[in-house]
Amino acid sequence: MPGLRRRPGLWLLAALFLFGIGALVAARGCGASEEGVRRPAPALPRHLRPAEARRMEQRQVLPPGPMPERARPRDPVLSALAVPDAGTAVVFEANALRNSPLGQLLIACLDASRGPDGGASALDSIRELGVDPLEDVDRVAIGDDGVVVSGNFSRARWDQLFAGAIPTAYGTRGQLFALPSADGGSGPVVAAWSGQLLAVTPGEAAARATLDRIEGRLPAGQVLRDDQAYGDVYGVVKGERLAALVGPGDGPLAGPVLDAAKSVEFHLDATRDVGLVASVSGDDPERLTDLGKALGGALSAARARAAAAGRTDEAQLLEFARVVPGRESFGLEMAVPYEVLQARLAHCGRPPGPDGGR
Amino acid sequence: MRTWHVAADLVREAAARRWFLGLALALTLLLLGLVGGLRLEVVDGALAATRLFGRSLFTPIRPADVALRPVFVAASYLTFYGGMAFGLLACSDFAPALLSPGRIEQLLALPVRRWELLAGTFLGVLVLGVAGALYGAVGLVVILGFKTGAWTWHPLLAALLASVGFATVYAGMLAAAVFVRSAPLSAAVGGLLLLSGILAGNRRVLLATMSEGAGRWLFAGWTRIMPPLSRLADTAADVAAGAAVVPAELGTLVSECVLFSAGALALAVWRFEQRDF
Amino acid sequence: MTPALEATGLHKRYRRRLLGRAGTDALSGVDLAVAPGTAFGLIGPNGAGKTTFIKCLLGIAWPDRGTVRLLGRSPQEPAVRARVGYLPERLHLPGAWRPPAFLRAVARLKGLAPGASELREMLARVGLLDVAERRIGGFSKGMRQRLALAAALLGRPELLVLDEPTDGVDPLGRMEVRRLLEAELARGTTLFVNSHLLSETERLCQRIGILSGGRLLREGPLEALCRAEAWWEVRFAPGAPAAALVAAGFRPAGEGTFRLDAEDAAAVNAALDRARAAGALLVGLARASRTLEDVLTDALRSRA
Repeated sequence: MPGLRRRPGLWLLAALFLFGIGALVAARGCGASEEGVRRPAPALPRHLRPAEARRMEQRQVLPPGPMPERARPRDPVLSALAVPDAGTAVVFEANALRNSPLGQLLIACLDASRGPDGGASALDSIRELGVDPLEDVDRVAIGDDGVVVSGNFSRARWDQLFAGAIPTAYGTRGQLFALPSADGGSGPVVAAWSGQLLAVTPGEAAARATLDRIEGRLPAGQVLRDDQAYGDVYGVVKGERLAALVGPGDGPLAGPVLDAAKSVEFHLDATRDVGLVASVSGDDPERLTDLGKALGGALSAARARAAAAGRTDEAQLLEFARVVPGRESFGLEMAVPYEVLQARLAHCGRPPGPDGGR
Repeated sequence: MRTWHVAADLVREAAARRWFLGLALALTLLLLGLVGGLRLEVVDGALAATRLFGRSLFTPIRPADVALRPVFVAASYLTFYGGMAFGLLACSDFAPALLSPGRIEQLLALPVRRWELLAGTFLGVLVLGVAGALYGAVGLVVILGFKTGAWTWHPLLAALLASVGFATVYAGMLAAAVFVRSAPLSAAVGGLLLLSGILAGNRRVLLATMSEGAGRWLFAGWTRIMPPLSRLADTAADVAAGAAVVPAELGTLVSECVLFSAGALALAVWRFEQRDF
Repeated sequence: MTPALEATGLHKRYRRRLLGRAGTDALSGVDLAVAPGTAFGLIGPNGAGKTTFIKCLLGIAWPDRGTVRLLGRSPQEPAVRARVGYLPERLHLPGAWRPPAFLRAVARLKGLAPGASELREMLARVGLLDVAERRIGGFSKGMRQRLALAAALLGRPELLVLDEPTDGVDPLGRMEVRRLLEAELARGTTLFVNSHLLSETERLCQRIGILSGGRLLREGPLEALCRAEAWWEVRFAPGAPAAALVAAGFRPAGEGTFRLDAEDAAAVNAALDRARAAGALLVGLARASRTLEDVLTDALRSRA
């Protein structure tokens, strides 16, 4: 009988051995994670997210304004920016930005801007005026009438902050600080409201108008709506302001942009990576379509040139760039991975050496 | 070696079966549909507009090779899981047919070793799997390459990885058929192995939800042996998209699949060598 | 001279593991040797173990005890199986293929590389040349049987093991198959045939084995088995004295025919002399023997 049958038991041993080796390989895994965690795609702010909607509602502390269409609670900053027929409104969510990875990198850079002797940084100088830029500032906004800063200014030393300007009360909770100009004439006027908002305006009329809009005595324009207040930086640039930003000599696309684009709305997210979404709208759908294609082609060509020139970082960045065509507008999306930012800002943030070097 | 003759005969037999003729026809029609119905407008290397059978698809304008990545990723997943499901059904009766009365006696009386019959059957099915996966992948790459100017061979690698996954499952199906000559049972075992492979790919998360006991111990042991097929599918998709893949990780995944397949085949041969027909 | 086929003390039991009952003894110590260049026929009732025996010979089934030799070697050696042609009882042929493709596939597995003309010649030998371009799926049972026989004949095997070779074949076809096998025999091929058609077995085989209940009841030359008991059929003209004929040793066999059991010619003539002396007139004399069916029936009856 032994001569008739081979040794099938060897096959069983081989099977068990192979399964065992397979289990061992799996256990060792060459350092691989078991679930193969994949890097999430960069977050792109395409719409108002729940957390941002809650933030928006929390900021609507003002009663409804005089216009029927604004029969809703209002945000002081957006009201301050809402100059009628305004062409610009850009808001930086300073609180969100400084807590983001990008913000931490930038703060480290700022801290590192201390002198070789470890002297006071720019931040320290502002803190001495009673305002901590990293703690007290909530938002910084740029509009047609100047800059608006919101936050907690209860500890601000107004006299030192505004070079000795004497405040004038205005409205219910407003104050006006007229700052002198270099030539001795009238300079910018700062409107302060309720210890939580500062608006740096070109003159007294603009300052008064700002406080009037905040306190509901003047109708407000609608340059930036509540539902557009999402992202860590967001805003709208339109009309002549847009034309002023893009001059005819700014590259081959400048002309098509000026022809077709009438308004650009953008949103930037810095939760981890930096993602930018911009929406370009205009009156002529055909020109917009052509502009979108031209822009997409330009980005693609730039990527190809960067790759050919060995600029791999730049080429990888441009991989995240895309144009999303639409009917009366098109979107432009770009993203910068956090790792790239980290690499670019790596020279910042290093503690100074014993000799003050890096 | 006669193993290759057995494999070649299996491929020849499959070519006459409706399942595979249907698959070939479906793939060919799909590719021809893309050739004729897909219009791509490329501007400076960017995919500017897409029309499918005259209907505009509002796709983002971005570099053509970047724009094609989601297509290749989707094709990779479709090839992996869809191909696996098709293979489970279409290939489940090859081994039972090999072992059918009349045929197995004739084969065993020929100068072919028993293990060569099993190895040849496995190889033949593997060839079918690779051919099917590559046919679709090559067709897609060529068509999109001509239409966009963006050429890449990554989807072919992804197709090969899908074939590795299928080979893992089929080895288990073959072993099951040797123990019990039944095409439905073989297909059911294949389905269970696929499910096990998906669970193995999420092993850590699932173990964290299980309380201590025999069940957890069994699950941990089985998913240690069973290759994580869901991770292989994800890796294949990454490869198809041209994303960076850690070679060591890929090597580990493929090694697990190869070892499991070899173990299942050895188990099948062990049973086959003892059986009377 | 090395037997072409040799089995010694072959035992095979099919066990029923699941039900836990005792299994079936398919073979209970079979000893058999077949000389090269001869034709051996294995006959027996259904369930006798004939097919099991053949499977054990070829390594398709594993015997529990005993030894098997094919052409002097173990059947597990592929090189030995390359010199054996086998026609199984149950056929499973690929329906979508055509005969030349099927034969070519079998040839490849046998390590052969026949050309197209050789395949056509083989198909002509088995009478399938006219349907060579038709798919096997459309063949009748007889046509499939012939094709399987052609596959068994590929490579000019030294030993042909045929399990029901003419099953499903029409009478003319059976004649052709028999001629074909006789030609192989004349070439020196050893034939081992299992067939229920005793007439075919009688015509083809020189030696017979009777298997029943897993045991070999009878085995030996066909003539010896059938003529172990031979007698004479005698006819007398009407009016022959019956009593005198019985006394002379003739037993009535109906319709004027008598049976005489005599060992040799002298005894036959002595009996005829006694009959003629009693007044009987001889009109017919013929030697008769048992058919294979008689031998089989007898063997089974004696076993019972």
